[in-house]
Order: sequence, then structure tokens, then C-alpha cells
Amino acid sequence: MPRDVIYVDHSTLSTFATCEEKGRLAYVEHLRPLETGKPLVFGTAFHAAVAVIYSGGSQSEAHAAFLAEVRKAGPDTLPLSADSEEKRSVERGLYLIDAYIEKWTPQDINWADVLRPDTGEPYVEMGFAVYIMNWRGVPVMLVGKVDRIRRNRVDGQLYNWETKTTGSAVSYYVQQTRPNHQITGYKWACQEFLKLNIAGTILDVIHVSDRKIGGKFPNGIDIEKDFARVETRRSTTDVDEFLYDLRHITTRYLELQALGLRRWHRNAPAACYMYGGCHFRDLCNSNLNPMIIENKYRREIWEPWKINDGELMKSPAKISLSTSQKEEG
Amino acid sequence: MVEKPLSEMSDEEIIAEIQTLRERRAQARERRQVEKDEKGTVKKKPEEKISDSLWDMLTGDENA
Repeated sequence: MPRDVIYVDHSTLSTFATCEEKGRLAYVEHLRPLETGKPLVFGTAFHAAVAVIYSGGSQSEAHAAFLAEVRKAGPDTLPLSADSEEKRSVERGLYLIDAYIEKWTPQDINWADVLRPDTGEPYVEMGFAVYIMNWRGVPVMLVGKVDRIRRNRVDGQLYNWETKTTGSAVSYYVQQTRPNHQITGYKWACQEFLKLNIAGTILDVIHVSDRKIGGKFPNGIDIEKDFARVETRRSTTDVDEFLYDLRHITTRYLELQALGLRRWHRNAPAACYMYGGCHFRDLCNSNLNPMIIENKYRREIWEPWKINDGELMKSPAKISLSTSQKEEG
Repeated sequence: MVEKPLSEMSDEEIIAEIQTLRERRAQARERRQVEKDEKGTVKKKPEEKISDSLWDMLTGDENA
């Protein structure tokens, strides 16, 4: 990581806040499990499909984007058949894309795409880097990727959108909209990066169910219950309080890193069994056995400045939004 | 089913596999439905013909 700028993202800080040692293994040692978790593969693939849909792509192009991401994750990361015990299958993913289009296309009439003046493309999967603080003379930037920015045709305001796939019920996810540092952070970052007034965030939630295929719902999808969209807003005080937390956790993370300790604090067992289990649990259990590291992990240096497919993130000045909007009739 | 890892299958092959799965499920569903229908139907015995002819009854020839 170049030390003329320090980059952090929501995932780094959230991981570190959950368990310091998990944060060190993932973002200081750069260890990644050899096998990518199925929820991550499925979520990334679905995200890619939704990005295609909102970039004007067809249903089959969305399918292709989904399949390309699944393939990229390695051989047989997800099962093909929706009859398999693992609910995140390729078949279910494709049905979910079809159902997503069926569910939301009629309602999209209320939303207009906002085009980037530099590329003329809609604001979809937009990487950002925003200055958050100075640490020992080095600027610290928050980086991330906003799923999309759209204008509501009814109130005329801009909203950033976040798409999430979840194995839990959508209602459970919708209840977690505030406080929620990722939502607040991304909304703030959009404003800072683009110098635009973002009215709020639309959380676009998709439930990955384990419903049997061919039962009451032929494709295992309940179009009424498996999708939800909720709008959430943040006041300036909400943002200020978020920035307080952001700078606090970033400082702790960087201070600990500077100390050069051989190991950081393990939040056991609270963090070990969250979200289906920490992927470093075996490693911690082995007291950092080098053989386990060699056999189960790879080192992959995080390069957030390459967040847009290797393209350096453009400065806000270069892509500050004019009035260019796609207001299709 | 194609014995190939997913990462080596083309989009067309994957879609074709899913289509095969759908057809198999549809066939299985149809078979189950037929079996269910067969179990649920009480087969009626052929109706016995009863002659009201005294002579027929005595001779045992119901079809006369």
C-alpha cells in the first residue's frame, strides 16, 4: 500500500471493529481463504447482473454477467441445481434475476438514470475516494463503490442505491437501515465526491430463499416477499456522528498497525461464529500455524485505488455533475 | 447431466442444463400426479346385470 495515501473502506473498519485480529489477518497480512464463501460469490454475481440491468443491458446480458462472476470464483463454487442443499445455486440466481426484472421494471418509471458527464454512462458501480482525516501527516481516504445514483421523477431529488442479497428475510434487513455506517458513509461519500446533494439512500434488498422449486412457487421465488426497497435519510447530525465514529475507528486501526504487534486482540468467541463463522477460525484455533496459512489461504494485496477495473479513481473535479440526466420520455 | 465443472461450461451449456433440470422436474411432477390420481380413484366393479326374468334366473342365463 503506498504510504503517501492511506486507504480504508467500510469492510476494513467493520471487520476490525468486529475483531481486531480478523482485521489484521485480512487487511494487514492480506490473507484470503482459497475458497470464496458462497454468499459472497452469489452476492457479487447478483450485483453484477443488477449493474447490467441498470446500465441498459438485456435480461440475457444480466444472466451472462451473473454467470461470468460465478465462473470467476472458481470451479463449482456454487451448485448448478436449485434442488441442491445449498440455496445459493446458479439456477436460483438466474430465476432471481428474472423475478427482479419482473418485480421492479414497472416501478422504474418513477426513476431516471443520471449520466456521468465524463463517460455518458449511468452512474452504476461508481468507485469513490473521499478524504476523511490526516494521520501522522498522511491523508486517509475512505474508498468504496456506490451501486448507482438515480433521480426520483416525483420529488426531483437524487438518491444513491445500495443492493443487498440476504439469506435472512428482507424485513430483517430493512430494520437495519439506521444506524448503519455503510449507508450513512456512502451517502456522505457520494455528496463529497460528486459535490451533489443526495437526498437519501434506497436500500434494494433481495432475499435468497431455500424454497423448494416447483412447489407453490414454480421457481421458488415469492415475488411479493423476496424483494423490498426502502428509503432512508440522514440528517447533518447523523453524518457528523458517523464521521466521529469513522475517525475514531480509523485512528485505532492505524495506531495498532503502527505498533507492529505480532498479533492483535481476538474477539472470541463473539466474532468467531458470526455470519456462519469466521473464515479465520481454523487459523486462530491453530495459533497461526504457518502450514494452515499455506494450505488454506492466499495472499492478495488490497489495491483500492484500482477499484474501477484498474482505472484510477477520477477526482471529483473531473466528474462533477452538470445537469446531464437521462430523462427518457 | 454434463460432468464438467461449472467454470468450464459455456453460458449456453449452463442454460441447457437448467432447461433439462426443469423438464425432469416437470416429468417427475407429472408422474407423481398420475400416481396420485390412480391412488385416489376407486375402481368400480363391472355392473352386474340382473335379469328380472324368472325363467332366466332359473336357467342361470342372464344374458338371454
